[in-house]
Amino acid sequence: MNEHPDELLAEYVDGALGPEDRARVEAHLAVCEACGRDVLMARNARGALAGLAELGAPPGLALEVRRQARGSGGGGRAWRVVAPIAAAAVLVAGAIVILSQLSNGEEAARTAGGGGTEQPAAAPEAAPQEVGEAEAADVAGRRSPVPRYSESDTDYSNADLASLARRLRDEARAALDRGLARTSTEFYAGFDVSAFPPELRDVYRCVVAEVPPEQLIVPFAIEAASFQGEAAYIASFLQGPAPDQPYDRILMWVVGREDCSLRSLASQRL
Amino acid sequence: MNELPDQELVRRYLRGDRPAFTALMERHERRVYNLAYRMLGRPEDAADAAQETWLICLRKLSGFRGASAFTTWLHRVAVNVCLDALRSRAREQPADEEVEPPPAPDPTEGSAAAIDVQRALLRVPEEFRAVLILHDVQDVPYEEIAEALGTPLGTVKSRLHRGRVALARALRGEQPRGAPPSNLQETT
Repeated sequence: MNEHPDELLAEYVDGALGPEDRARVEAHLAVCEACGRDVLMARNARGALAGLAELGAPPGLALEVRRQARGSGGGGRAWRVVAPIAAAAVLVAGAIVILSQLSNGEEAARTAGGGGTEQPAAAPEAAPQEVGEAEAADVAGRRSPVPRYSESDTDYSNADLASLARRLRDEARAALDRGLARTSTEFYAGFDVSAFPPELRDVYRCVVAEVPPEQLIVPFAIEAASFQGEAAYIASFLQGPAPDQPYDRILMWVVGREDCSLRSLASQRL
Repeated sequence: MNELPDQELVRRYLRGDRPAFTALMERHERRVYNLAYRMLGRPEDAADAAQETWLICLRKLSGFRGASAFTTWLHRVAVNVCLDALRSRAREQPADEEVEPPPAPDPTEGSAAAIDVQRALLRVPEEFRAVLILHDVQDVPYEEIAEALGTPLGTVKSRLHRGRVALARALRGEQPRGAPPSNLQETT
């Protein structure tokens, strides 16, 4: 073997060669210093790549694809549009900040053919139900934090959001005392949407459809209710100044259940 | 629906069962996002590429004949989307401009070592990088990579080895050697 056997060297490093080819490669390596050095480097690189963790896909990606596919999403990524709004809310220090209502839902999706998953989760017809706050869904041995989910007949207004934010602030403080992950980094370390109960999965995807993908904010509770007469999810998120720093505020998001777009926003210091 | 094989989900979607496509996305969205992130190095570009990949899948799924695995087809679409994105990026950046600063890592990237590996990966020539990611990060077999990339099997193995060496050089702070002339790449 006079030429460098690049094709065989990959399989040699993988331990995938049969005895004959392995012997040929080893005979070559015995006389070719360059290939011997390359094999060592290839082993190092293979080990480095094998150590890369699988990252989570950004929240809302699937929903955005479905929205664009049916041509009602207005194009582009909704989270880029909304990110400055979230930032604005965060910049205002102090007590409750209520931003004006953001959308009247004119681009609400109308799904042709009634494809089930084109809609968010079912409207709250049944008796109120809850998935425990900061519970962990245990799937295939992995535990993922799950936001609290409830359904109610309450019709919220902007003014109601202020008192709701204060109540959730107190609940969040209590949850933190009981061991809820204290930073975004800690929370997302074990986070996996696929581990959510099926009925919560689409609700969650709808709620976070317009959340920036940087995962700086952590879902705390979601309530399927109404907002100014329209079916909406009232979601609360915890946010810190940086992913690895403890949360210092709670954000309230109101998201239309029909089109998953943001309707209103409030912020409260923790 | 989650236990159905990909081919069955594709078949159901083409018959009008829209949730079947959602199930396919849920099953593979991490794979597509990770491939895009490793290829492009920026979370926002990766999200765009992943989104574009799924939209192309939606548009072209009717042309999927099932001769190969769905994941093979999906990898082909995703890699092509990423290569297009890299070409666009290269066009937007004048040739004599300094190499752009390292991109901000995905905030969920676990360690400084992983960030270093990702940055080194971005210095590996693109055609090597795709093979490296598919094989060494995502455990895709040689044969499936060859089919996905439309490249001879021997070329895949050769690129894998050269890509690993290039990555190791980049990790050591050396300039990885560029892609060899095309007549050397297309060995079989």
